[in-house]
Amino acid sequence: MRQRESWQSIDPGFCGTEDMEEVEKNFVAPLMGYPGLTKTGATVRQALQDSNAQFEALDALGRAFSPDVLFCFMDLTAEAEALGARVAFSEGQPPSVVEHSISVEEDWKAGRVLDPERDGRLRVFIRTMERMKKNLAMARGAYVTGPLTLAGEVVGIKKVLKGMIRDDRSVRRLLQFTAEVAKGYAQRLVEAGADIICILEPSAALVSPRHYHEFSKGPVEEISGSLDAITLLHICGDVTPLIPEMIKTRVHGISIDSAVDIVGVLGQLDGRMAVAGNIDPVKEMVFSTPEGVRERVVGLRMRAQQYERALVSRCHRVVGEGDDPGQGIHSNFILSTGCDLPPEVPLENIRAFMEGARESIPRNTC
Amino acid sequence: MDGDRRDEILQQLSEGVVRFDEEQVIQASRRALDEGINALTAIVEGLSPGMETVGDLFQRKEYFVPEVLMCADALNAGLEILKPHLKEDETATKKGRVVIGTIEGDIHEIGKSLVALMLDISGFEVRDLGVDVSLERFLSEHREKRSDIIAISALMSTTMLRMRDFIVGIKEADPGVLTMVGGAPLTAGIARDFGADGYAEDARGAVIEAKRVLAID
Repeated sequence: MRQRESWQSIDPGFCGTEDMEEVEKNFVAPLMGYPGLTKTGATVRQALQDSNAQFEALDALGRAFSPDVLFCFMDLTAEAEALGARVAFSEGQPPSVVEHSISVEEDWKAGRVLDPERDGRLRVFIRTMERMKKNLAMARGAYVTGPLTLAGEVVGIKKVLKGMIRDDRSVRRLLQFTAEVAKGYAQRLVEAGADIICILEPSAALVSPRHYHEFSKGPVEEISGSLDAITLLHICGDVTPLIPEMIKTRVHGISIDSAVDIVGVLGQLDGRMAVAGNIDPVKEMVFSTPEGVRERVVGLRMRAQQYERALVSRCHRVVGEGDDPGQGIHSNFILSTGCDLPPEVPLENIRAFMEGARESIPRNTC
Repeated sequence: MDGDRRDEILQQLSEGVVRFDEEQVIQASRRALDEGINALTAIVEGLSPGMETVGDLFQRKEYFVPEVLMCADALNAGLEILKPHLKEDETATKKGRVVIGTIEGDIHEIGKSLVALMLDISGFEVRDLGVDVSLERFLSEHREKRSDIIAISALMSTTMLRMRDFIVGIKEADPGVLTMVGGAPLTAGIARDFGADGYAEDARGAVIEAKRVLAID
């Protein structure tokens, strides 16, 4: 039986960390789903519309690479579509929102919130998570679209961004609505078996630290605080200016992209939370050679270790259940990719990533 | 009109853009025309330097996308008033023709539109095809406009990967046309690997790069 404490009752905020002396290993959690389709032969469309196709691809990746955490497919259109936005699918690439949802303003004024079991394709991810819980030994992660990003998808991002300056009250109300949507959906994913909820907030990379603080941070914390799960905040792109605000956000960890100096972030953190990242999903994982990927992973681990801290037991207990390598004392540096791996990533590069991640490296003792 | 007054109006145009004060830009544009300042001068020496400053502030990470969008709105409000007063020969002597759009499957338009706007006020003739643009559309527009540059934008790493095929398709159709690419997931290295002739990190850089690939001073 999985032991879990309520995060809210302990601390509505961070994962605690301890001195690094005892750190033995890093959690390894590349953000991957789509490359699994190479193994099963299903299309992107099938994997996002049919939980069997999605689970089989994830199962194939889980068996082949045994990461410590496996996330379900990343699909930034799922909630927007469930709110009425039109989404274009293709066989080979993740979908995109092609038309904003015109009725959403009526929805949020009327207080209608999503029903994850009925609206759009959200149930595909819920069913996938249930099967992951039943069949996979490693910890499981799922994504929800962050409040600012979802707001941009349903009413148009330009409107939201300009609204922050022109009409901040209505943007705030919209973000309250999208945070409610994310909370409801994330709650269902946790019930279905997700140990980790990763809040995807790429649109925050477009705004100033002040605007992030004023608009995005609160709704993200509201989502995080409502869940009995570990929460990560992922913002893609070069978010260097946002880092001071991101690390003040009450989530258990942040996930950052390859453009950010992750070692510098670990240094700034002084162990306050977990940080996941940040091997380049395209430059390294698509275009580099297996040897190049392995070297890059080992190099990152070497550079990161001077700032690593041990995650305290409550974090560790949730993520670390299951067979070895889940056991042991883990670092607050989670070895991951900077963003989701595209379908084109060669499987041998994922293998090389895992080899670099598991290779024993000399630990700093000073 | 004395030079001080002229400078003051140009200054108001520029400042209005930087402070995203649409009202100030509208007033200053009208005053410019009323007081006999040439519309091209008002654009090139008033609005355009303002947007250059905005580009600087963006690069220095003092301005972010919401501020830049507001500045672009203020700039557009000025252009709307000034552009109808450009003389025929002023619109004809363009630096080059650019067809621009966001690649198929990608509907992110902010960066692409800012590049189009900056190229426009820097003297290029720009045809903006919008978002989710297929290779066929780029090519048919190119055939019609006989453009010098085809510029493609992508915000997602997944759609970025399609750029390589687009560039190959463009070069097959017309080896003479130049290609430029841009967007968050790109780097100069990836652009080179894809076979693009030009790459820029942001809208200001795109103007410099467009001039470079066309060998304009």
